[in-house]
Order: sequence, then structure tokens, then C-alpha cells
Amino acid sequence: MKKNICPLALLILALIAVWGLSPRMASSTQAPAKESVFDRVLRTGVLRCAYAVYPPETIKDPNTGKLSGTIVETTEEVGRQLGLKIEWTAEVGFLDVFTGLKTGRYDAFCSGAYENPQRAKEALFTIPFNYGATRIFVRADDTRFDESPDAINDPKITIAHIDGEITQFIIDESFPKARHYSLPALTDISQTLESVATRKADVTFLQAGPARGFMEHNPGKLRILQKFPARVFAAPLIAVPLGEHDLKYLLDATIRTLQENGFVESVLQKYDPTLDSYLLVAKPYRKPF
Amino acid sequence: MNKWGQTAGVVMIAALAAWGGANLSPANGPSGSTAKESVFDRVTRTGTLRCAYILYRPEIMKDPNTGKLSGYVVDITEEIGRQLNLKVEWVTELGFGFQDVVAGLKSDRFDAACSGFVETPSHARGALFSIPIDYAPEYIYVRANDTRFDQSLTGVNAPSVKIAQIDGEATATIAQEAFPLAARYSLPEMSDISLALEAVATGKADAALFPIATGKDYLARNPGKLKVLRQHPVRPWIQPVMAFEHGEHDLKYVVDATIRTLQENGFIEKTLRKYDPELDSYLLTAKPYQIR
Repeated sequence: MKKNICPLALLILALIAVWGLSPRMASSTQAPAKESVFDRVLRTGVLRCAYAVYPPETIKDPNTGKLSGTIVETTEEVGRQLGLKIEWTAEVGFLDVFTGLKTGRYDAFCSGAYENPQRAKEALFTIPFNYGATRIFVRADDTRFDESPDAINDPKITIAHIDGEITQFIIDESFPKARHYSLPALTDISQTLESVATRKADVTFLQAGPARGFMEHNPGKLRILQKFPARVFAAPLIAVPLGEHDLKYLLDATIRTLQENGFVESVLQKYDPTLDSYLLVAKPYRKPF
Repeated sequence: MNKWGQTAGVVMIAALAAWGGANLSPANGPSGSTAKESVFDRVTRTGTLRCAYILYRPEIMKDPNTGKLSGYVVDITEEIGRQLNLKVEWVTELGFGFQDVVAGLKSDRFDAACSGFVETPSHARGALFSIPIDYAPEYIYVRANDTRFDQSLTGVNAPSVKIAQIDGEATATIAQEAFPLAARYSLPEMSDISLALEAVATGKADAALFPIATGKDYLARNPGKLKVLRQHPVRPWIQPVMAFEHGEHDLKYVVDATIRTLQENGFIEKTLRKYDPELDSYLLTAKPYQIR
């Protein structure tokens, strides 16, 4: 008996070695490949969108919670074209947008955050579905800036903005000497205009469309410095996590179709009939010279 | 040593050999997994781009005697290959059904589908497209004596109007979008375009939707049968030159960069004009810069 135990033990050890070194065993020590957002969206047929309320792009009915607006309608049509259900899962402020993308709390931020170099390090943006023309709003009786907007770039001047919203970038880029009057990230955009009207700030920057409601309800309080060209921003429709190039491509291709078939223009005109807030994207084709 | 010991020894050596093979070969990572070579890496390594293609006049035409391919998509693809120092192999002919393109890309039957596609949302779900080489306006073809739509195309969008289309062909998508109420006279996937035009000429359908250049040949061979409603272009289709498997962004990037060069150096315009001298079928892409 003693003579046979050793080779039997060797055989058992050998079998254990084969099992232990097999691919099944090896693979169980590897981390499973993480499913991309693109693959998950196609598999589930659902695109989970975060949003930030910003009329008329994203409007939330205070009674029903129902969403509407240029971006909501365009995103829903993107979903319809792709056979995807859009779930509006999380309301966020402009400061928080990218955190949820990184943690997977949602698949995309579907509220048209403007692309700039700092944001491009945080997320991947679709092509623009329009360009936004930003105007300068001042008190109706304030003539300090009528000759030149350069007068805004002064430490005695305060500019109202919402944390993380595009105005903050205009200030940093073009009016770095001016002071900030910052409102928290989820504040209603009309509060920046209210801040100027009530002298908490001197100036704010906004598109004519989002300002329309305030201007209509508060006639004579504020005016737009019409003389000066607006700052124009490319307005992507959706931001997706970094690395999700297939998802970005899919959305871009659909946006291009909606630009070509007139859907984007019809939605923008529905909310801004004279198109003084939004510039359409240039046609990508030409006749030869 | 007895036979148990010998057996154990052989099994041990085999296990060690298997482990060595799984973990020590250069293609594998430290965890032992086998990484699949990307199409980009393979194309770069082999110096060859294997293209599938779809016959569609004048983009890709095949000489029935010699089998030689010609057309503006062929010329542009060959020039992309030349610029990138890649040999282009035209390996597989496909029908209009896009599902065959997707399946072939996924199974590595070819590296790219090299035909003038229409980029649409449903196509984009299946594949990655290059940037466009041009835009192709669509026009309605009707019988020469049919005046119902001369003033406006609104009347086309009616259940009493039948549009001839080829299953899976790009214009069918645009026809569905622009004229969803119209009835369809459908032809099978591999049908020649001329059959759709013939269906209109013989009264089986009332209208067909194609670019000007696509129908030129039929109109020349059948004078007086059909007319093109040039006064009412239907929207242009976005025309990339290649489709790739999802994930192949490096391959898309090198092809896109080359297309941009061919746009800027005039090659694309010159090639389009070779097949359509008046450029009444194709719109060039806009210049990406302003001249002040």
C-alpha cells in the first residue's frame, strides 16, 4: 500500500494543477469586461437621460412634472428614430452633470450643455443641433455699457450667473475682472435676471428665449444691449461618458438626419418663432463655384 | 516508477505545458486572455483593405465581361488606399440589404463596406460610417405625360400613389420619410435600379425616387417615357464612402482624414465631375473655413 500512495498522490496533484491552471480558473480571477454604455443602451433599448431645467430647452411643468422644450422634443425624436425609449431619470444642476455620467447613474446628459475645453475633458459631446446666441442684459436705465461691453470688465461690475452654467465661462473668458454674483446650480434661470433687476448684480448673459418669460412679466425693468453682437455657442444636444465613441456616433448620425429632414428647425421655431435665440447649423453642402 | 507514477508525471508535464502556452505567448496579456486584433491593426499590418461593395450606377459599376469595377466610389476608395499605402481588395458583392453589411463586418468577412451609403439612424445602429464625400439630392421620376405633381409634391403623399422602390435600397428610406402615406411597389433586394424606373414607365407604379445620375442611363435608353421633377428636389442624402464595424474609430479616423485631404485637394470634385460633369446629382461638402 505504502508503495502506491506516492504515485497516486502525484496523480491527484497533477489533476489539481490541470484544473487550477485551466482557462476557467484563470478567467475567474480576471475582472469581467465592463459592458459599454453603447452596448447596454442597445441591449436594453433604453437611454437614461439626466436633465437640467432651462426653458425653453427643458421645461418642467410644476404641477405634473412633465417635460417639454426644444431639447426634450429633439431627444425624444432621436430616441424614436433609433428605436430607443428615453427615460428622464435625474434632474441635475450644471455643476453635477459629469459626475453622474462617470458613475453610471445615467447614460447621457440630455440638456444641451455647451461644449468648451474644460467640459471636453469630462465628457464627449454630440455635434451641435443648433447654435445659441447669448445676449447682454442690463437694467433699463443703466447706460454705462452702451458704448462698449468692455466697460463690464471692471471690478466694480457684478455679473449674475448660475454655478456651472455657460455664463460663468463667458465671465472667465471675456470679463475676468468683473465680480461674480453666483446662484446655486439648480436655481431657476430667471433669477439671474431678477438679480440684475433688483440690483444684486449689474449684468447677466442669457439667450433671448429663456429670458422671454421674465421680460414679458416684468416690462420695462431690463433691456438687451442690442448694439453688440451676441456670443455664439455651439449647442450639442447630448453629452455621453468619455470613451463612448460608438454612442456619440449613433447620436450624431441621428442629429444629422433630423437637421436634414427639417425636424430640428421645426422644433426650434415652435418655441422661438423668430429664431432670435437660436441659429440653425449651416448646411453641410454647397453648389460648386 | 510504476505506471501510476508515470501517468502522474505525464499529466504534470502536460499541465505545465498548457500553462506555458496560455501564459507565455506574446499575443496574450498577463492574465492569459487573448486580445482580438482590431481591423485597424490588421489593415495596417497587412497593408490591405478588404472591401465589400454594392453595385449602384454611377457609384460602383461592374463590366459584365471583365468583372472590372468602376465608378466614383471605386475611384475615390482606390485613391484613399493609395494615399494610405493600402491595397484595396474588392472581395465581396452585396445586395442592398444593410443587414448583410453588418453581418459581414461583424464576422470579419471584409474590413469595410466601400459603397456610397446613406447615413441614417437605423444604419448607424449597425455600423460606423466615414464622413460624407458628397450629398446626393433625390428627385421624383414620373411618366412623361403625368402632370399631377408638376406644381407640388404634396400629392405624392397619398395612398392612391404608388412609389416603386427596391427593398433595402437607400432611397426607400427617404421615400418612407417624405411620403409615408404613399403605397409601395416593392422590388426584391438585388433588383437593378432600372426595374423601378421601368415599373413607373409601364404604369405598375406612379413614381420613383433617385438621384439624377442614377436614372440617366435609363432615360437615355428610353427617351420620352419618364421625366424628372427637377423643380422639386427631395432632401439630399448624406453619403459616406465607407462603413466599418462599431468600435473601429482608429480606422474611421484615418479614412476621414484622407477624405478631408481629397476634399481639399480637389480629387473628390474632379472624380464626381468625371461621372456627372454638370454636378446635377451631387452637392459638394461645404468648405470648413471662412474666407474674409
